[in-house]
Amino acid sequence: MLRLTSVVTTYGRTTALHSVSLHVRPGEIVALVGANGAGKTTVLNTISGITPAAKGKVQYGEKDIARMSADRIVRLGISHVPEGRQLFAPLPVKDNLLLGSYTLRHAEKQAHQQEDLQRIYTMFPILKERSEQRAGTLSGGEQQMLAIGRALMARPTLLLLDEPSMGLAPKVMAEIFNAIAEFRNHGLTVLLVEQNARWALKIADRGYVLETGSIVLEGSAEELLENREVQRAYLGKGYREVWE
Amino acid sequence: MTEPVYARKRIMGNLPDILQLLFTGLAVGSIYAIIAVGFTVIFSSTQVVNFAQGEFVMIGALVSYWLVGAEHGPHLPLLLALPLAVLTAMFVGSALGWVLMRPLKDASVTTLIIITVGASMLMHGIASMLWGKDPVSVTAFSKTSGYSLYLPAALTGPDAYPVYIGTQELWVMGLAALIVLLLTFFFNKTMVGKAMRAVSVNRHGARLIGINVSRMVVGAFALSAAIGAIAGAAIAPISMASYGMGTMLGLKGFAAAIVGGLGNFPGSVIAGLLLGIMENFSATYISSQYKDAFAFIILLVVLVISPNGIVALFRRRRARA
Ligand SMILES: Nc1ncnc2c1ncn2[C@@H]1O[C@H](COP(=O)(O)OP(=O)(O)OP(=O)(O)O)[C@@H](O)[C@H]1O
Ligand SMILES: [Mg+2]
Repeated sequence: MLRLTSVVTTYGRTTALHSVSLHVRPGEIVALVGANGAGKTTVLNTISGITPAAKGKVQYGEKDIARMSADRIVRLGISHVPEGRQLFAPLPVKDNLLLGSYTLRHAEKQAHQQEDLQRIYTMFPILKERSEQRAGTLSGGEQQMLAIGRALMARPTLLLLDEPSMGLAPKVMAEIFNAIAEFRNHGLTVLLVEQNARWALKIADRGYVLETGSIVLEGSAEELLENREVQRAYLGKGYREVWE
Repeated sequence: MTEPVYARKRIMGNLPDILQLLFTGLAVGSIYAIIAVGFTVIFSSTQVVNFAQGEFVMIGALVSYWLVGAEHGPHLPLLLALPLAVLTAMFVGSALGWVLMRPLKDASVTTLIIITVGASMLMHGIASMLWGKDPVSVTAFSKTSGYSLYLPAALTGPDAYPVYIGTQELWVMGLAALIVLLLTFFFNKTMVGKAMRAVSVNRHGARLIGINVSRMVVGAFALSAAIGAIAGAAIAPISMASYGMGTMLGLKGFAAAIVGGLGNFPGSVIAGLLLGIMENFSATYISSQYKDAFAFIILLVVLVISPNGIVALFRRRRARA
């Protein structure tokens, strides 16, 4: 469904990704783990057209989307829940959600918008309670839920998630990861970026390990969870301090 | 007669003057307000202060002058000329927005602001070639030029002047109010308006949900040009129209936008109105020679007291209370 082949992405003179190749099959949850600065966010930004690849191919279905503009990529069915949520802070929660369906055509909006909104409110009831409140006044966990909800309003087939666990208490994290694991039942495919490898691999089917801009390891989630290197680098005891 | 009654008479005797100044000040203030709103629309979606804003006002004035009243013009009815003038300004505005967003999209905000200064000079130059350097007088919107309003003699004494309510001033205020209402509706109730706000509050977030940011910014320039052009067409019958009229109006609108707290929509409107009124009063009671300087004195004073504009000042007061 999504395939990156030898993708190189640069920021000016610095090369953030050196020849990254990975793929995501329909219906899968794929985790992309790695330390700070490994290039995880850059991979997602390259896919969604925010920082286009300098070299290499990004194929989505039959199409090469490597040089497509961000808004066309959203229209193709790829939604991105970014690092730092990037909500519209002064606008009400409800408007943030409705703006999520900005790319839908009129008929599509007529047919699905209200129903989608209700579905998101069922998934995250707190958003319904807060629907008239400004997004900026939400707690971190609520903002993450809103960012996910906003992305879902575009009716994506592939969801890119960038560190949804960032800064969240374990309880809220559990709620969000349960929701992500549920997406599979709705036919949604997920590419999940996480520093918190344990959580990510627990719900994922497969995973990739990214180190300084290159994929150094890939495999099924179980394999990765059992891998010595992964255990030492990303699941070890000292890990918690690193990401908190 | 006792002292206090005499004092009251004297103040009341000035009432027509005061109301007159208030009325004309409000009309000029409405113009400043909508020019300030034009600045706000562009600033909030790009962080660019568009120094060509005043030229949209000039385009609105001169194009509608040419379409309606110019000797060799097509003598169109106003109802047709006004939309055409607005469209012309929107076209120029979109072109400017496009240049800033496409070829120069990686330039810094400072560079973009300087480009708008350049664009302003260019428009200036072109307008002076097309219409010459002499101010032209422009036909008013209505045939009736105004009404004399006599205040009750009990208030003012027997031989006070009436207050003159100019029709064109009424047009100016009405159009300004209409623009403010429509924009409020646009930004709060329509999806495109909300998307434009989304671009202004979080451009990155807006791109991520599939908003075409460049197109939105071009749209913001077009909108802002339209607002400016309406202001220009409306004020021209009062002030005359000339290639250079945009400079001072643009600067005053800019002052109002800053005083209102750059990017603050209600703040711009309030500051524009206040600026027009204060300027008018100070020109009469202090010195008319320094009329244009008052706007900038007010600007400096406000910046010293509250760098984020007057609305921020009120907010802070309320927060403290
Ligand atoms: N806008 C930018 N300009 C220049 N360099 C950048 C930019 N964004 C990221 N980089 C660099 O690219 C590399 C990869 O960054 P990226 O944000 O993709 O890492 P990450 O894996 O998401 O890290 P984190 O876990 O901290 O979010 C880093 O070395 C970073 O400094
Ligand atoms: Mg990151």
